[in-house]
Amino acid sequence: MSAILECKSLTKMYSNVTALKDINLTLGRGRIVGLLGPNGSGKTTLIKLINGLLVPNSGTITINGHQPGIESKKIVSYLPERTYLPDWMRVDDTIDFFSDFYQDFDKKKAYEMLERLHLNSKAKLKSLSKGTKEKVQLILVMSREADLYCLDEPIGGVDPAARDYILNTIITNYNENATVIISTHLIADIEKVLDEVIFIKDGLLNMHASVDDIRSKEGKSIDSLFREVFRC
Amino acid sequence: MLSKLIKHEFRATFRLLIPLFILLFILSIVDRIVLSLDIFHGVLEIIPILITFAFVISIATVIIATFILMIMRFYKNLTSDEGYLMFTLPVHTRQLIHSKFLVFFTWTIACILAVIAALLIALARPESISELWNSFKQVLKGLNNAMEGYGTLFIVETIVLILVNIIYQILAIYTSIAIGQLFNGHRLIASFGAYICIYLAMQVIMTIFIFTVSLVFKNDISNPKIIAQLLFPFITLFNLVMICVYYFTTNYIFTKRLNLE
Amino acid sequence: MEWDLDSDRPVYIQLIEQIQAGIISGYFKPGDKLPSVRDLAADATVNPNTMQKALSELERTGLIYTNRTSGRFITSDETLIKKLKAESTKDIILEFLDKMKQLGFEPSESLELTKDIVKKMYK
Repeated sequence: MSAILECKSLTKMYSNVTALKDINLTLGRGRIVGLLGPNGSGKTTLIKLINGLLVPNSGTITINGHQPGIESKKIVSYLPERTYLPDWMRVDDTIDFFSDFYQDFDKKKAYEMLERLHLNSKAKLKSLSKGTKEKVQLILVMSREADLYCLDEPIGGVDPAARDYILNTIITNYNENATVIISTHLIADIEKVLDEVIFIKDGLLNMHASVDDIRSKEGKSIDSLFREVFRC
Repeated sequence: MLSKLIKHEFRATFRLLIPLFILLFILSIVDRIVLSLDIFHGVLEIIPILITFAFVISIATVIIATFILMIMRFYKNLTSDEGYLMFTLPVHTRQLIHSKFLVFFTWTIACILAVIAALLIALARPESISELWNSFKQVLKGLNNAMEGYGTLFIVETIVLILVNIIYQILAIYTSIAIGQLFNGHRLIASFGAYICIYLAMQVIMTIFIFTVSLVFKNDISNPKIIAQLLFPFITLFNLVMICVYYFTTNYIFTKRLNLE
Repeated sequence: MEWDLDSDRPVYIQLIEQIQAGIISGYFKPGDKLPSVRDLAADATVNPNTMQKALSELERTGLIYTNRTSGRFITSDETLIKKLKAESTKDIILEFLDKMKQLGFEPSESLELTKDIVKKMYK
């Protein structure tokens, strides 16, 4: 099967700041990829470009051969860093919503995951804590049978137990046709789960390699390498 | 997909507006009851006055609230965090605009009809319908006299212009919000600023237009034929042109210049 | 199963080691059916591809075999397991002797010290 993501000379500028410069990147299927870099490095810009929330200034980006648009949105499941669900909805309203708009949404799976977390499907989002809302969002995103999952800081603001649950969900949802991109700062926690890592520094692609290669060649963890590469 | 967006849009706005409509109808019924009972004398007369006052306030509230809630709905759903949800749905950006516009327009019409209904409930008597119809016929006759037969056309054109103007207002606001989100900070203020600029620009254009027209037509400006056959259609056409400008601008901004925080 | 994974060595190598340890210790008995790759990976909190790589390697050495319809199993070949145990034991002892050498003890001294401690602590 073809690569799920291809960026060719991808460039994005804001006013006079270059957020991403000349990015050339190819991601295969069935990989769990870490998108790593400090704040402002261009990670979020890349994720927004993948999801069609930004338009490139030059270069191309294709998802399974499609330019960002309706066809790509059908196969990309996006978990942003923020709470993007309307507050007035109940949990089951959000499931109906996703089910309505996404053909690949598995309602049964979503309800099962809710059960396992002892979340009340009739609860109003307004009444839930931030951590619980994030879990609901994760459930919605992972209940889709997408080809590309984009998770932006999925384990950022949650407690260690929730982190384990999230990583567990990502692993058990794995299928060899789909790729998961995880953008995060918390590298040590997710290293073991990653196949490949991408380092983005100052808008440039600094490195794209497999985790095993890095550990054998450099003899250190990705976390240590990151600290070296991005030393302040 | 458009029907799904519309369905969702109604679900989201229904819970905001229906309570207002219900309140309006309750007050209209209460007002009617209170006005038809002749038991409030002396100091108690203040009661029917207060109730009627509340009723009138509720009418104003429903109209203003419908308008404001629909604007806030557009702003919140597309430019705040919810935008991350809406703009990653597998739909065309223009469908987002279409669905919101259709629902805004529907609620506006519903609001107008609700107010009319509420007034009838509160104040109508059996003779009211025929009374209103007779007054209407008289107005029409008088208008036709004053306007050399163009009275009916004038009324039709006025209604069309009002409807077109509602569409115009909605889209002008959408465009202002779209422009406002281009900025990185103070987006709400930027939206207001954009609206004010658009408003002033239109005022300037209208002033120039009226000035030119009065120069060209001099005395003829009060000629009903000119008004009905030229002026009103022209203004309506201008509104329609601006509607297109606003629509394409809004769509362009949300497609190519989306700037979610 | 308790998975103890370092962060500076390739994960799949450590998975191989730990599964082997599990076979030796009897946690995985000969002929046992293994959980699916995904379940094992989730248990160890590692990437399924990495777990797959480790299992493939173990398959290559014969410690695991795949029955296409019923899944993956630990080998029932007791000889092979014994051999694995012997090799692991040898590795541990060599590592111990090496560490003792770093402390300044020759292997013969290490042997005497070991006998002493076993006598005293493991009566």
